[in-house]
Amino acid sequence: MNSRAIPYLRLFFLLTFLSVLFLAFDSFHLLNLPKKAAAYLTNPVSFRVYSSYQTISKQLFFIFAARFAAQQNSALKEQIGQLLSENAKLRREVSETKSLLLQQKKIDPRTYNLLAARPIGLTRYLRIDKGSADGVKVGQAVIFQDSFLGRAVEVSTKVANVQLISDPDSKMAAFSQGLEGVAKGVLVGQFGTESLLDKILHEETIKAGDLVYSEGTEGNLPRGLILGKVVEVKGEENEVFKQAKVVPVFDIRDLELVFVIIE
Amino acid sequence: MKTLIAILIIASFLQSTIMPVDLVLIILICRSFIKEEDKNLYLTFAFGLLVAHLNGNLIGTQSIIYLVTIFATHLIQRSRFAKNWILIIPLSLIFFSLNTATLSVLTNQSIQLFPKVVWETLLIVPAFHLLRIWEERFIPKKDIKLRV
Repeated sequence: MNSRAIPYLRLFFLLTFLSVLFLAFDSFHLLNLPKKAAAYLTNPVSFRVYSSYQTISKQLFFIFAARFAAQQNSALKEQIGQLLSENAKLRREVSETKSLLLQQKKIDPRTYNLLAARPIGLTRYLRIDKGSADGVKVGQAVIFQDSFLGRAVEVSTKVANVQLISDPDSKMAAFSQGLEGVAKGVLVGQFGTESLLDKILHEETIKAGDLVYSEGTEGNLPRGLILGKVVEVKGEENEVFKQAKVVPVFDIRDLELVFVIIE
Repeated sequence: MKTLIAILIIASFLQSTIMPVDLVLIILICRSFIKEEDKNLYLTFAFGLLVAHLNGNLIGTQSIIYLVTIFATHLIQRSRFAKNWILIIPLSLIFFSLNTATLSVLTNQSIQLFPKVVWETLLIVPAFHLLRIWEERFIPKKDIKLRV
């Protein structure tokens, strides 16, 4: 180790003096020639270093951009999913609102207290999302517009089962009305989607295409609700009564909202 | 020494092309802090000229600044406080700030210390330890003699 108080002082001054000399020479452009010669060596190296850096940074940026794009894509997909869900919800609400408006045109809400319910299942019975907690009781009629769909037969707190007209246990007084006259009978459910209007007297007129209406003799079921349409009339001349095949006007599966007549 | 010169050449090109930190000065301060010898001043002078040329500054400008910095490091390195390596952090912060400020004044630029000086100060810690390991483990010492 150097024992002097200030080490390499002379060397420091010498090199500083040389630096000042270089600075002075360069200030007066006396070093242009050696600088130009050195540039022939250093500039290509600098360029190579810079272009390599550019290439590497582009590659790295691509990885970063790809990662960012993947994240963005995932976020957008999630957003689209949310929008689709929201759109579906809005469409359902619009459809329900339309159904409500249409229902109010058909059945006067001042006369009948209606409760809107959503169908949530269809097996033998139509299951709706309203039950005793909402005021639904056994025997209440379920309608859509001015068509009768069925009556509530099983009611739990939040769900009710509706027996449809086509159910084999369903039986109700009905009449058909066409251009040529009226025919009274009993509408009995059949297996499948059809019903049978039975006990029609021979002298009464009924034809395919006639609409069948409720008689309004069962409990709080109003008179004049559409029960279906006659598709075929059966019956021999020697038999006491005629029969007619009746199909519902609506396909139950297409309905998004039905209404229970509470009062 | 050859390895150090190669590293300094690479650092010169890197700092003049892509990295906005004074890598050459970082390495020179670290070496001066670890080992006090005349080679540091020669290297400082030579690489001051090279960096000035690569940066397009007046030749000699950076040499003077570097020489003053390294000479000051040598002086501080002799003090008893220098036994703690942490001293290099505030020391380098001051040196880098002065270096940047002086260079900005000489080249008629506005003085902008941050974040350049902070990066340089942060970089000096790993650079110092790497260089110390290199100097202690991989550089043979001439003054070791076996007694027979």
